[in-house]
Parts: sequence; structure tokens; C-alpha cells
Amino acid sequence: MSQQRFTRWGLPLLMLGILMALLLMLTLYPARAQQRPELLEMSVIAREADGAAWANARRGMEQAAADLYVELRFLYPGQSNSSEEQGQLLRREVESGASAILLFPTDREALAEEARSASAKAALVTLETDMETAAGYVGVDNQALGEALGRAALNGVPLGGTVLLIDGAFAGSGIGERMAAAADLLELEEREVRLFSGTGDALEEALARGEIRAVIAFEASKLEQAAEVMSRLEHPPLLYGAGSTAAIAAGLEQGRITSAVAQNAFSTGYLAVETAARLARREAVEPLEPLPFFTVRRENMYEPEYQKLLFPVTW
Amino acid sequence: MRGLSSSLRRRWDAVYHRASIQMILSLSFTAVAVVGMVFLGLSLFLRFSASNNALLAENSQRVLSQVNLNLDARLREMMRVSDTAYYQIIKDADLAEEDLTRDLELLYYTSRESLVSIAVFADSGDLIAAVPLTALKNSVSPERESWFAAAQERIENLHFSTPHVQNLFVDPDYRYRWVVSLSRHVELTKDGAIESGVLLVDMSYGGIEQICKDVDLGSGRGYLYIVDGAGEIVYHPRQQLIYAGLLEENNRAAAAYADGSHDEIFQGRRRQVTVKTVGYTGWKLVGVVPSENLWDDYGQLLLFFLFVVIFSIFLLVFVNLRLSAWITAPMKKLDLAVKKLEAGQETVDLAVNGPYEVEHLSRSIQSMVSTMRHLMDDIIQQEEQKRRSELDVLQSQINPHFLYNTLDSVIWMTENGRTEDAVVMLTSLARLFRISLSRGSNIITIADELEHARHYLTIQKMRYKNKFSADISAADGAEELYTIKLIVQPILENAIYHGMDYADGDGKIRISAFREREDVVIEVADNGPGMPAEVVERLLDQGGSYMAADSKGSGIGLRNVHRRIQLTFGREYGLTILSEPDDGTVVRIRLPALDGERGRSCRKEEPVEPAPETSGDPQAGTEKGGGQ
Repeated sequence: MSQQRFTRWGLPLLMLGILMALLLMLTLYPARAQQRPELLEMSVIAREADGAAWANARRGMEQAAADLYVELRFLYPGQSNSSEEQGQLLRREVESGASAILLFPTDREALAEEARSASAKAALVTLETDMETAAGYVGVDNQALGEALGRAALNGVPLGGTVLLIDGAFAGSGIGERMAAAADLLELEEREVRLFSGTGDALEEALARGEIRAVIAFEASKLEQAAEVMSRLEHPPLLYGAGSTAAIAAGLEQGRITSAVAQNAFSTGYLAVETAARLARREAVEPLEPLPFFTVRRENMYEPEYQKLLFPVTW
Repeated sequence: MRGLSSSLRRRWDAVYHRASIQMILSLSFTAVAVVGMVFLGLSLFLRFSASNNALLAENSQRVLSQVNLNLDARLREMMRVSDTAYYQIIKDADLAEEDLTRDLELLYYTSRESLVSIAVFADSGDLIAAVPLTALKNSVSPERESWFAAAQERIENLHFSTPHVQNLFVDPDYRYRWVVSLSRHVELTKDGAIESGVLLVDMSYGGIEQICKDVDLGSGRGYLYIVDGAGEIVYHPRQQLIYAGLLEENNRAAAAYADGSHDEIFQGRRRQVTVKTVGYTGWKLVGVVPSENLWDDYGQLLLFFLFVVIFSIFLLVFVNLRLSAWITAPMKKLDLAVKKLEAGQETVDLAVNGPYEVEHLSRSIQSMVSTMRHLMDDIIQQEEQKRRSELDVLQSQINPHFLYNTLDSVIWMTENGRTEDAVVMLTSLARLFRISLSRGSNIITIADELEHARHYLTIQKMRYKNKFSADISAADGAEELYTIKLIVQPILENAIYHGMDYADGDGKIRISAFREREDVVIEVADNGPGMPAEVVERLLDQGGSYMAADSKGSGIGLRNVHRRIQLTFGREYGLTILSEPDDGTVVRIRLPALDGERGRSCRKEEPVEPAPETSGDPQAGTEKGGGQ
């Protein structure tokens, strides 16, 4: 083909062909609105064998999963607060190729190695307890929350009065941080602090002696347990705690719980899934500030703001 | 504006005058087609988007109407429950004697799917009856609740509350259910006395969700929510996210919208909002379709449209270039042929195949060129003919000096008694004139031409007192051939004046005619002083004028003869002069050998000329006289 013939016919036809190909590609390429991200598998490793205490958080997680095209897999250890089992679950999920993992760590130190290796292969986000080796943390400032609980207890306990802190063997977790912060504050304010670790009956026995002026539980299940014990006592001490379950609301309403520090569990769950999904999809994630918490009492629990916080809308 | 317009016009004119027809055709076709296509495309696109928006709004309104119907039915059911509880159970009962619980329980179970509780309160807030939970919590005070106050404030109305957690009754399972409360003022009868009270019907919030959850707005991209008159959210598919502060909704603004479709920008995003008010409650159904989703599709469509336009423009340019090249090819060919013609090329192919107009133009140009060539040929021919005629006329004219001198000689002879010589001279003169005239014909036989020469020589010899002798001869067959007349006499005149003037009876002039293949040659030779080569060379030069040293003539007579012959017979014929100083001169006249038939045809072709007048100016003559 001569140069002139190519310029006159070949080149225009070639460009027409390229334009036609682009046009076809454009026609076949789906609209942006129709595009969906790839389904993301996310594992949620709980701290307790029973998930009732964080049911609201789970609702938030499920809402986020529906919005962000994530498939959630909830995993519960056979024994509550077992770091060993959590480590095993973490390892197993990483090996099975989970893209993102949400973890309620029971013990930072015990899980540090597992969390480090998991972070290398998956987007690891923790709740309740922050970990250096995790990619993100969604939760409250545990020290502040503990101090808030301690401050609440100060109101009902005179100087020199005894405050019982329910120790759930959470020394290496965010809950342990809450307790330590509350203990420090109370001691600073010249209240006697005692730690308790045991069953409900043991707690009832300890409280029946009447020396305890206030009890503080730092997580929902312990608070529910303590509230249940209070209902059996003739002269129960003041009970403070953290959590926002239906049983805690009932405890507040019935006066068994003096006040509860609650966070929006729904949004905690939602944000945790959202953060982990963004990390797994290599999207930009702004560092999360610690979530806010509120002190709820019987008097204000049905105010619209707290009502929405304590009682997620259910159909 | 005017300046810009004229500037554009000037530029366009400049481009128009520089551009080829093909370029103008291509540009014009492409521009018109592109403008048309873009206009049409944009019109269609805008029409499509407007129709789509209208369709979406219409669809939203239709969906909202359907939801409204369903919600209305659900609310009516609640109102029916409330009416039944009031008019059929409470109004007729005396609370001092009857317990309402059983009847309310029956009513509750007929609509338990959509009901949470039915309760009757005294004006003080004390519980009179409630189902299915019967015990009031110690901590609650119904009279402080908003639904209670609303019922007491406007006793004639039914009041729907915003969603709230029902916390009135003791529930062993710690269930806190979201409800919408329908409250109304009721009259209670107790011991025959009428008291005020409040009837509460708690509607399951799930009932509203069931009505709204599967609503399809904007092909799944939109959603529906409900607000009360104050803008509080009654239902939202992402209600908990809004409560958690993770999402915001424009519910306050939506509460102020009138029924119908509206465009709003919320959090920087445009969306289409359709509002419909629900009867009795003052709630508003709000359908939201994000416009950015629409524009996602529109953007895709616009991109597709742009690609189609670019592709079409490219295709149009290509096709128009090829098409205009095809259309203008005959014109270009014609233009090229005309340019060749202008450049002077003789053989140009002006025949062009193409559309009717071009072919017509081609034929017209061919015809014009042909006509022009014929006219030019005619003009040239006429010019030659005119020139020849002029030369012929000049040649035919008798030098007045020659006539005067001859007649003077005759007078002189007569006075001296030489009447015989005078008769001879006059006879020769008469014969000379007769042959000169030749009845107007320019073509005569060589015999006549030689006869003409002979008479001329007779006269001249008598005038020059026999200073020279002459000999005329013709080869066999030569005398019958034809020649233009009066071609020998000017040569003889030159020979006599330049060659014989100083002769003393020994001058000789020899005239001979003979054939040479297809030509005939008449040779005039003299033994005069001859001429140098440079004079010979310039004697027949048409551009120059040679004046002999003795100033007796310019040689114009020879040149005229030479020209006449060449104009008549072509450039291969004419005079040849052979001369050497002191060696005489030979002038050879070469003519085509025109036999009888060809000679006669030549005589027919030549124009009939008037008889030459003798009053003409003898330009070629000599001062002393002589014939032309």
C-alpha cells in the first residue's frame, strides 16, 4: 500500500475502527451506579460465648454489612474471655483467607503475636480494647469511661466508704483499663476500693455483709449479673456499670442499677465493620476518634436521645 | 459585534477564495451535519432526561399513593380498633361493675398482628384496664406522657404519636418495643357518673415498616421515609443510623414541602423528593431519589453520546472528503485541462465524464476552444490573405515614373520620326498592362509571366538604348505551369538598375524556366557587378531593410516577391539569391509545379480582386521608374 493510499484510506479506516472499538467497550461497560464492590468476607471474633451482651452492636454490624457488601461470620469462643481460644480463632480465620477481622480482645499481651501475624494478612480492627498491632480500633476511651464510673460512684459513697470493683480477669484489656482508672480515681478521692472476682452467689455473699456502699461493673454481662444479684438483696448497695442491654435498661428502670455509662453500640458495630471493610479494600480511612459515651439514669433513660441510644429501633 | 461579524465575514471570504470546491463541500457538509447531529442529539438527550425526570416523579407519586393507601388502611384499622374499644366496650360499661379487660383482650386478639397494647386510663393517669400486659410499672406516670396530654387537650380528635419505646407495662422478658400510640379522650362511666379518661392503642412499629420496607423508588436507588408534622422521623429505612448520628436526613425541610415533587440539594447532593401527606395523622410520606444516581446513568449516556458524535464526525469527515473528491473529480479534471490550455498546450483532452452540468460545461468549453481556434485560424488566414492581397496590389501597381518615362520616350521617338520604335514600345506597354491585369486573376501561366517579362525588357532595352541583351527561355512543359503573376518583373527591374546601369552593350540578362522534380524554377541571371555575401544574406531578411550602396533601391521589391510566394505556396518556396562581387547575380524563383488542374483550382480559391489602380504609391519602385 502506497503512502498516499494509506493516508487517504488506511489511516482514517484504522481510526474509525479504534473509535468503533471504544464505542463497543463503552456500551458493554456497566454504568458506575451498577458496579458493586467485590463481596468481602469478614470474621467477627467475640469475647464471650454468648453474644447477647453486644446484640445492639451486632445489629449495627449487620446494617453496615448490608450497606457495604460484606459477609459477616460471627465466631464465639467455647469459654468466655479465653484469650487462648481467641488466638486459635484468629489464626484459623487468617489461614482460611478472611479479608477482614473484627476482634474483641480479652488480653492484649496474650494475643499480641497472633494479632501481629493476622494484621499482616488481613485488616484487623479491634473493639473494646485497642491494640498496637491492629490496623484500627473502634470504641470508647476506656480510661475516661472508667473515670466516669468512678466519679459516678463518688456521689453515693462517703469518704472512707468501700467500693467494690468487679474484676472479670480483664487485666490486659480495655475493660481492665476502665477498672484501673476507676480504682485510681476512687482511691485518690479516699474511698476504699476492693476487687471482686467470682460468681453471682459469691457476690451476693460479699454484698450481704453490708460493708460495700457501691459496686461497679465495667462491662455489660458483669453489670447484668450484678443487677440480678441486687434484686435478691434486701438492702442492696448502689450499682454502677457500663453497658446498654435491655436487661441493664430494666435494671435502671427498676432501680437496681443507679446509673449506667452507655455508648451507642449500634454505631460502634457499624463503624467497626465500615473501618475494617475500608481497610481491606485499601480505601482511605481517617483515624477514628474515641466514641462518645453517656451516663444514663432512671430519670433520663426515656428522654428521646437516651431512648434511641438504649433501645435500637426494632421492627 | 458588527466588527466581529465583518471580521468573520472577511476571514470566511479569504478561506472561501483560497479553498478548493472539494474542501468547501467537505467542510460545509460536515459542519451542517455535525451541527444538525449535535442539535438533534442534545434535543433528544434533554428531552429524554426531562421525560425521565417526569417519569420518575410520576412513578414516585404513584408509589407514594399506594403506600399512602396501605398506611391509611393500617391507620384506619387502628382507628377502627380504637372506635370499637370506645363505642362498643368502654362507652356502655360501668366501670364500677364491669371489668373491661376481657372485652379488650378479645379485641386485641382480633388485631394482635398490628397491635402492641390497648389500655384505658383514668383522667388521673391511673390504669383502668390494659391488654395484653396488665401491670403498670411503678416508675411510670402515664399522665405525663405526650400522647396522654394530646388526648386531653383536643378531646374531639384521635392523636397519633411519633414512634417511641413503650415502657408502661411490666414485661418479665424486658422487651422494649417501639410503638406508635393512638390516643383519644374517652368518657368513662363509674357508678353512673361520667368521667374523662384516655384510651391508648399502641400500634406495632413493625406494621409501618412492613408497609414501607419493600417500596421501590427510582429502580431501587431511592427510598421512602415518613415524618410527622413537626419533621420528626416516624419511619426511615436507616433510622438507627440516623439515631446513632452516622447519617443525616433532610426531614425538617421535607415536613415543610407541599405535596408533589421537588428538587433539593442536601449535603451537596441533588435529589428528587416527592411528598404526600397521610390523612388523619398529618404525617408525610417522603420519597427520595438521588439525582446523582440518575446522573450516573445520564453521565454514561452523555459519554456514549459524545463518543457517537465524535465517531460520527470522524466518519462524516472521511465520507465527505471521499464524496466531495468523487463529486469534484470531473471539475478538477476540467480545471486541469483548462490550465493546460492556458499554458498553451495544443492537444488538451477536454472531454470529461461526470454530472450533467459538468459534462455540459466540458462540451461548451470544447466548443468554445474549437470555435476560438477556428476563428484564430480564420484571422490568421485573413491576415495572410490581406497581406498577400496588399502585396499583390503593390506588385500590380505600375510605377508612375516607369509609365511617365515610357510615354516620354514614345513622345520623343514620335517627334524624331521613330514611329516604328514608338509603336513597338507602345505595343509592349499595352501588352504589359494586359498581362498585369489578367482579368483580375493573380494566377497566370508561366508563359504569360515570361511574356510579361519580355515586354518589360523590350521597353527597358529601348529606354536604355540596348545597353544589355536579354534571353528568355523555358523548358518543355514549364510554360503551361501556373504561377502568381508579376514575380519576374521586380527581379528584372533590380537586375537592370543594379546590374545593367553601367553596362555598355555587353550587359546580359538571362531568364529561364524549368521543372525540378515537383517544383518549377524561374531563374533570372545577370552579369552585373554582383553583391557581397552579407548583402545577399540580408536582402531577403524580412525584419531588415538593406539599402544598396549606390542608393538605387532598398531591395523591397525582392522581399515582396519572396513574401508573396511564401504566403501563397508555403515557406519551402520563394527566392534564392546567388551572387558574388564582380561575378553577376542569379535569382532563383522556386514555385510548386502547378499543372492545369491545380492552377485552375488555385485561381478559383483566390478572391476576386478589383482591377489594380495605377494611382497607387510605388513603394518598391526606383526613382528612375520601372515596374513593380
